[in-house]
Amino acid sequence: MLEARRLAKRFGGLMAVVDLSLLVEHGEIVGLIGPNGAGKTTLFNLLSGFYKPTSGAVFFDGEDITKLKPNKIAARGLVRTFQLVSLVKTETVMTNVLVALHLQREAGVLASIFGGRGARRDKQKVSIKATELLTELGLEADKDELVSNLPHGLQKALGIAVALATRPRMVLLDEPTAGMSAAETAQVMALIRRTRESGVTVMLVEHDLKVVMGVCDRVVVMNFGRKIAEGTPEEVSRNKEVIAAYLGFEGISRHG
Amino acid sequence: MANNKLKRSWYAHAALVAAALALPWVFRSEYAQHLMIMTGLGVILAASNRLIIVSGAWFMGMAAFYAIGAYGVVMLRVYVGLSYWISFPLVGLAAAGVALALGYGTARVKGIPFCLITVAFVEVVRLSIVKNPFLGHTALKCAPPEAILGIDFSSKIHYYYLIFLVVFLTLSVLGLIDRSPVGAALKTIAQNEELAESVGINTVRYRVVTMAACCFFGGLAGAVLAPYVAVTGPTSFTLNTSVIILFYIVVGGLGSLWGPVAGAVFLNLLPEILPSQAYVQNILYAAIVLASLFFLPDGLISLPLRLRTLFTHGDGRGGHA
Repeated sequence: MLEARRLAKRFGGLMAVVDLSLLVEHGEIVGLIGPNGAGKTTLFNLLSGFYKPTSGAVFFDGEDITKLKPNKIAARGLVRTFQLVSLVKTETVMTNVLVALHLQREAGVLASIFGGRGARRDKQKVSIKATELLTELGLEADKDELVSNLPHGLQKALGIAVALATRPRMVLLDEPTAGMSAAETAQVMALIRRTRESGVTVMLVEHDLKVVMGVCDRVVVMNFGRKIAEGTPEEVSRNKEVIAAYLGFEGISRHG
Repeated sequence: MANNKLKRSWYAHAALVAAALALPWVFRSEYAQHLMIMTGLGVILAASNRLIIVSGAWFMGMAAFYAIGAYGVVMLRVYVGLSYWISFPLVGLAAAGVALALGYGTARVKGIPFCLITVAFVEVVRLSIVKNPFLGHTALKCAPPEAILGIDFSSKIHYYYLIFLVVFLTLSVLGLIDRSPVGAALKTIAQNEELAESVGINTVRYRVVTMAACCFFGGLAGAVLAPYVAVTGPTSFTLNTSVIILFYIVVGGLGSLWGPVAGAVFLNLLPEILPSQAYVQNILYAAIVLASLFFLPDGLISLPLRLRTLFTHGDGRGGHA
């Protein structure tokens, strides 16, 4: 479904991503892990079009999307979330979701400004969808709350909701559980599983190895911009190079 | 409940329109009507400039599009021989076209550099008028619009109603944009461009087309100014004009369409209630502007809410009944 071919990204003298290839199949949940500074977020930015690679290419459903702008990539069904909470904080929960439903509006820009049958139909359809989505995420009670008044965990969950609202075929989640309590983390893990069940392919960057081991079918490990390992969570957690990258050479292999 | 609110807002708008229509019959002096006309022009320029700022671009180029409208009308009438009423929409479109070119040309530039480009653009347009052999150093005369429906633009009140129509058109369109999904998308772009891109919004196109639409109205304002002042000179279109427009927006409040309206009305009328000695007036004017920025950082339009929370010892959020 998503394929990176020999991607590289250089920032001045720093090679943030080096000769990295990977393949994500339809319906998988793939985790991307690695120590801080390994290049995980840079890779996400390359896959979602926010950075252009120095060399290499990205294919989504067989189409070369390397040179497309992020909004065009999103329109093709590959949507990302951000590491930090990324929402319009001065607006309400509902408004944020409504904006995220942008791609599902059918009326043209002029019709949506000046009204018309198409715009009215859109408005109805979109507000039903937004309510559905918020109900599913347990956020419907807060729909008129300003985002800045929500606790951090809910803001992160809303960030995921916003990505899912675009009705993607694949989502890239950048640290979806960072800064969350155990209970919130469990909710997000359940949400990720439900997302996959609804037919959406998932790739996620995560620091919390419990999350990675708990939800991922497959894990890709990066260090210093390179892919150093790939496999099931069990395989990866036994891999010597991975343990060395995470814990230093004398690390003990006691995960999961 | 929602229906009631809608009804109330409809009544409020209708009352406002009625008041604006009656105004020149209440204040009948030429001077008062002149003030109203200039305020109307300020409202058009500031309200359209505001929407560009709402989309996240610190745009200070409105004076250039005001100039394009005014000189455009004069040129189309003098050199092409078109009637005023045909030139009028054409210069709006010309202003929008120039804005599209400027917008796409600077699509990658943001923040202060973008602001400075628009500042420079005002100078570019002004100088290309001043140094142009056809337009030259001399100011251009613009005849009054051709009579229409028996209205011959021989008195100020005719111009007032022309301005009123343009203000009405401008505020209606901008208001509709504001509350449409497009308005919500623009606010998202301003606050979080990456998020907007990631949900599939073409941020460059939205921002540039917004700029063009707003400059269309700036051009129309210029087209009304030209015959009104009769003699068009480049002094009306300096950076100073852009700065004053920015004052209208910020003093009035960026958060709502009515902010720049309140700002333009307030700052145009303020000198009238101050002592008339230039020296005293300037100092008081500056002091009042500074005070309003200091005490009402969200602009004059935030005053009612501020007062309400002050008197009810509310929690400062309001509107949570």
